[in-house]
Amino acid sequence: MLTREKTKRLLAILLAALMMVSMLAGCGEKGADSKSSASNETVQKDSAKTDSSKDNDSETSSGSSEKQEPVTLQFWTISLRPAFDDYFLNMFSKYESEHKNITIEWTDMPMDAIQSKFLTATAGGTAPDVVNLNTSLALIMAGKGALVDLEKEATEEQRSIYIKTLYESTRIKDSVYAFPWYNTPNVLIYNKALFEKAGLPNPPKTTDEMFEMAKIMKEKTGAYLYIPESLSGILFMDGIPMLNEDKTKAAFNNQETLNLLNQYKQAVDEGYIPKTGWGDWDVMLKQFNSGKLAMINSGPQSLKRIMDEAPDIYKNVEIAQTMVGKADIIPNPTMNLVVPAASKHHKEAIDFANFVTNDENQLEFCKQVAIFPSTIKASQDPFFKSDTTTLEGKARAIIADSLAKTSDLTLGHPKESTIFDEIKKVVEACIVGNEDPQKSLADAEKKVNEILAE
Amino acid sequence: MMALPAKIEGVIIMMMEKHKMAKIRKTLVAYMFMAPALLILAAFLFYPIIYSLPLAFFDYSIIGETTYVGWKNFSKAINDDLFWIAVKNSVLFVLVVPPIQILSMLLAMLVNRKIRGINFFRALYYIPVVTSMIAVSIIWGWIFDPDGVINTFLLENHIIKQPIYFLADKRLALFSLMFITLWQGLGYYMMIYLSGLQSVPLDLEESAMIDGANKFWTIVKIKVPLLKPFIWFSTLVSVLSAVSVFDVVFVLTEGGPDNGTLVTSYYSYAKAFVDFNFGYSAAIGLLVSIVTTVLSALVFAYGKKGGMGYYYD
Repeated sequence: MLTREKTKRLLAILLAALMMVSMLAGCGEKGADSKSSASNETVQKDSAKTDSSKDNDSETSSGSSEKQEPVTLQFWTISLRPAFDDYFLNMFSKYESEHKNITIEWTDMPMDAIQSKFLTATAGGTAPDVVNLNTSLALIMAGKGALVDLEKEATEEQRSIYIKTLYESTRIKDSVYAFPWYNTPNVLIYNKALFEKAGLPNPPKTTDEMFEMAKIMKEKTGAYLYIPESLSGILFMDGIPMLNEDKTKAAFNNQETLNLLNQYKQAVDEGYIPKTGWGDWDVMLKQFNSGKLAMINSGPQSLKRIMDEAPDIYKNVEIAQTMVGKADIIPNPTMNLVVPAASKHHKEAIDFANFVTNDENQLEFCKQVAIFPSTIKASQDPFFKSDTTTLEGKARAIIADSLAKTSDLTLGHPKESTIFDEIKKVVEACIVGNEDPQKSLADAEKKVNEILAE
Repeated sequence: MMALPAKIEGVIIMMMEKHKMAKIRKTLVAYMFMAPALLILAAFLFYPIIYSLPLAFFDYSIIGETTYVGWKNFSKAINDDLFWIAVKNSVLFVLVVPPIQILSMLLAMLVNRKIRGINFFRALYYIPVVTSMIAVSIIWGWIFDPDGVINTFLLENHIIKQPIYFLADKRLALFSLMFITLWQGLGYYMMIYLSGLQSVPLDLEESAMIDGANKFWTIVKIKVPLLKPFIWFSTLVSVLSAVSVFDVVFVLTEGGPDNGTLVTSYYSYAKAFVDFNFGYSAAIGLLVSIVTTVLSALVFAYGKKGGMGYYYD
């Protein structure tokens, strides 16, 4: 029989155990969505039952007398599930049917999780085989020696299908570390009602035109014409190099940059260009959706957000080719597929990455959402000019004509993210903080040189 | 002393044993309740702290090679301008401590009344404390925005001609973050001081008033001195919190603009998780712990001198 004391003791033990369990329940992330392809189980069952017949198949398909070991490729992507499940699962089925010994395991995770997960997986010896990274992250990983050099390990045939400027995004000296994948080149999205109110017939085509129109727009409507890109974006579009040729010293502290900075500072001081929010897409979109900004340079995917968040503004939206600087380059943020050096199946991983990014698969992907391919043949497909009635269709057609002059904003240096942060501080110091532009440039140059010397 | 009869002695010994066993059982139960939290703390706090000690002497980036570098990380930090900017900003953040203590004390005196509905106000002032700092930071980020409610009000009432860049102006950003910390922390220290005020004997207050002291002098000469132990504790906690501030910087400014809000905890984080320089990050953490130890020692020394002993001896 349980006495009162024993009951109390039992309750105490139970409570302590519950507390332990509840604390541990908080451990572990639910950030990653991990699911094998739909056909995975079938393939695994088949491989378990018919090993000998599979061996014969693999011999026939590869043309080699070597027995092919079963291979599972871990494929990681950024924020593509569940919207594109069907597309990817069909693609995996097709690949697996052509490569009987290969099984694809697909994991999708948010952008802010992929870097840390990739690092911890590599440190733990469980590195994935093919990973989706943006250019900046790919260069950081490449700088750490974490990625396969495709110039050495991919074939010429595999490398030749890509648009050159996009393929070169992840070049560090003689090595290239990623196959470019889908990209979202900028297009100019503008509020035609504000332009009409300001008496401006067309949006600016160049940054020089932008300065003239910004004054008129502010005076006539009270709205800003444009929020500038980050300073590194401005320098990139004007063709002002940020680093010297061998990427050992900063090269942006010169008269050209100073003149440009003074030009923007004057416009800010006179009130025609906002002081803050430069290069911040969220801020630009928010201002545009509230009718306080007349135009934004952004990918066509922004149109959906405008439609959802500001349907009244959306009614007045029109599309034009994005504004360019002196270098006539259109910024094109690109997603890539990389093969970690720690992968146990380099050849298979490279082949799979090349398959995912080939013409056929990229074109199919572009039909699902307003993105663009990185391959030459796919980018020339008439699909991109087939619809000129909807805004998205117009955006596609405009971009398709100018895809060859797009380029991802990259320095081709593993520390480019830190370098861009230092350049960004020039704007914080002299545009917002009213410090001397020359001093701000000199300080940033000194800091960038220290970073490059590390 | 007269020897007790054997039987009685035996009973006394048995009672002492029973009492001892009961005490042991009570202690064990207490440790069992503490065990889950201690285990979690050991795994996720103590172990990483201990691990960071040798890590500070290595160049470690997870992926690349791990190499022993001796004191190099420490000398790098000492010669690093950004490290000293971070230390300066962290020490400046301590300026938030005096206003937060004074305001909390005044708030505690305000809510230390037996009037109807006072519990509602006590709860209201405490709500920011239990709200996630991330949520608090995001909301204040919107309020401080150039198009936020403060600027909109000031512009529409023609009090200012241009928006105030609370978070984008280097001269204002750190103070804006300090304000957010102050706003969130007020309720916490208010509760500490409230419990202190409620422990002040009423007869002391009454005697002072009978002797002719007005409300002001009663507070200054009676209540505040008796709150000294609470002031000491609150000051220590708020100094340590100020020096190790992270959330509000991470969410709102990431150390900018132009390193204006770069603090040591954020700098250490950035070195580890942005630059993958875990060894250097550990070295920064160790150096900062020396600073916080010195600050804590100063507060302890002040608290010891004429603190609790003076009133309770």
